Amino acid sequence: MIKLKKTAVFSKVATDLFWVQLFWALGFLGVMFVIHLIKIGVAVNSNNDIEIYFVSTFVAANIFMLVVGIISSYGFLPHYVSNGVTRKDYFKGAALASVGLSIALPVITSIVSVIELFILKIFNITTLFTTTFGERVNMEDDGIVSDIIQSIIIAPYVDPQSNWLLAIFIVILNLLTFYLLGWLIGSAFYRFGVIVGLVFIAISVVLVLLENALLSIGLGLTVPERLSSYDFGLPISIIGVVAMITIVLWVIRQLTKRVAIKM
Amino acid sequence: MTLNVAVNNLNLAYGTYPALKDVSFLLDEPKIYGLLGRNGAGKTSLLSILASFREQTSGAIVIGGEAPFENAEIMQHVSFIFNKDYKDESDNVKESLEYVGRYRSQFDAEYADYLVKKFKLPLKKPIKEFSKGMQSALNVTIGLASRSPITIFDEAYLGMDAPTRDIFYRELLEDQSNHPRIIILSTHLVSEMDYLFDEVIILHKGSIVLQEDFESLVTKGSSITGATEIVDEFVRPLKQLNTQQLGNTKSVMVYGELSERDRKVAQQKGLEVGPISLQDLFIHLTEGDD
Repeated sequence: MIKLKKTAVFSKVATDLFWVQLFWALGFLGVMFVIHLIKIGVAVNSNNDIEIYFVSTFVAANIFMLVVGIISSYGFLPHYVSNGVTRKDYFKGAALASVGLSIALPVITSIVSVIELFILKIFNITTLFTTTFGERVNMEDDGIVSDIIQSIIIAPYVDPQSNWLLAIFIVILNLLTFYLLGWLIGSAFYRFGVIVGLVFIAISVVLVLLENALLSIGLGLTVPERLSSYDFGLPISIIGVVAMITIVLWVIRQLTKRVAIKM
Repeated sequence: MTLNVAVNNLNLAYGTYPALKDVSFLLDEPKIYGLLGRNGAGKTSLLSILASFREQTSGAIVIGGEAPFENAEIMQHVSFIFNKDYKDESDNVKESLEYVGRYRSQFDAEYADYLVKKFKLPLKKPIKEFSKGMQSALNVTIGLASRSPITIFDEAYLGMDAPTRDIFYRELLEDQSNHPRIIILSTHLVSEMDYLFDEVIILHKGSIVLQEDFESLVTKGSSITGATEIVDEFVRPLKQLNTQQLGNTKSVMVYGELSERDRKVAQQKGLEVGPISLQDLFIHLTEGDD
């Protein structure tokens, strides 16, 4: 039997998926950049503070990753299987691509932000940038709904101007989590249909809250009252989040391992 | 390279509905196999198992000595061409072919270009803007140019106009003779495509009712025409498929080879023995009780 040249198929899948999704990400970042420029224009004229680009893409990027994750299961899996790629190779490739994408996004926004700070420094208007983004709104009703909303809108955050490496790392964890949860939800819908899919949405909400709590406690950010008794350091948080990501990946693999391809 | 396909007591159930029932067959030569069956006979279900799109409920399928499902060595050599939904496909023909070429080791890009020209497909237009027939022509291009040792066309002609189908059939025969491989054509356009088949498999209600070499199959069926009583007497020991009566003249389609002696007897009794088409055979083997 003729064997395919031994470039591992999954690394080909990873490369292809990374570039396709990065291309989408560039479109998304481009739109966010235009919005950001408008915000700068408004801020300069009204003397308000705004966030640097890195921060202003932060919230929307999570949603972007969630959506791309969902699309991934519906669009890419059938595509690859119909090109003779096994579900396993697709899974490995897509997982690697999702890590790559999660790294590429904050790296790109960091570079843009550095250039932005540099240019604005030339014009002597750096004071424009606020560093208060990470301070959370203390909602009166400290219920689960506000927790969910806060988790999604204001994910745990480190100011890049204080510790940029940690800031990027936390963003990577956030983006990867949202991508994988999207992929998880998409896979559940694909495999089992609407009802199980909805259950997985609920599970994903719980996982977002969990990730949020883990990182917030580790980073010493404001946490809801009932979590305030917990206290552990950042390494524990990171181990917790990585463990959660691993479990989510495992569940995605179980969902897609033998799934029938829709035609 | 030839990979053979051995299917043994294959069953597939969707919930409690049995889509395939104890299907067994062997495809062991690089030939064109016609898979015929009426709507809902289980053709696509069977083919999607061959292509590892889904798993069987029970029974065995072996390709080149190995179970194909999730087997990279086998899956890369099986191409399944079906009516893909392209409504969200913003890629164009060029991009799409490049992509396939990355994953199909025997893909012939030059041949693909030749087919694209032959089918007059625009290279730069997004595929979602193609007509159904053009999308089918692209599918066929991918299927032929991939040169996979096992290539499956599941009603791949849908939406193509007659001249385009003709190009497809010609190219299929030509490329199959230059690069012999197992090609499975599922269709219900029997009369139009019968000359393409080397071997025919008829699937009916999830079961194989016939697998036979095309040539011998067509010689096996015949129509006996003549005076009613004489025809009745002649066909009594034979498997009868269909009867038509016009006045005192009766025409019966029978299945089963007629010996030289039978033919002589028929001639002596003044009966007319004519061939029947695969289409006729197909219709009568799969009709009734529904």
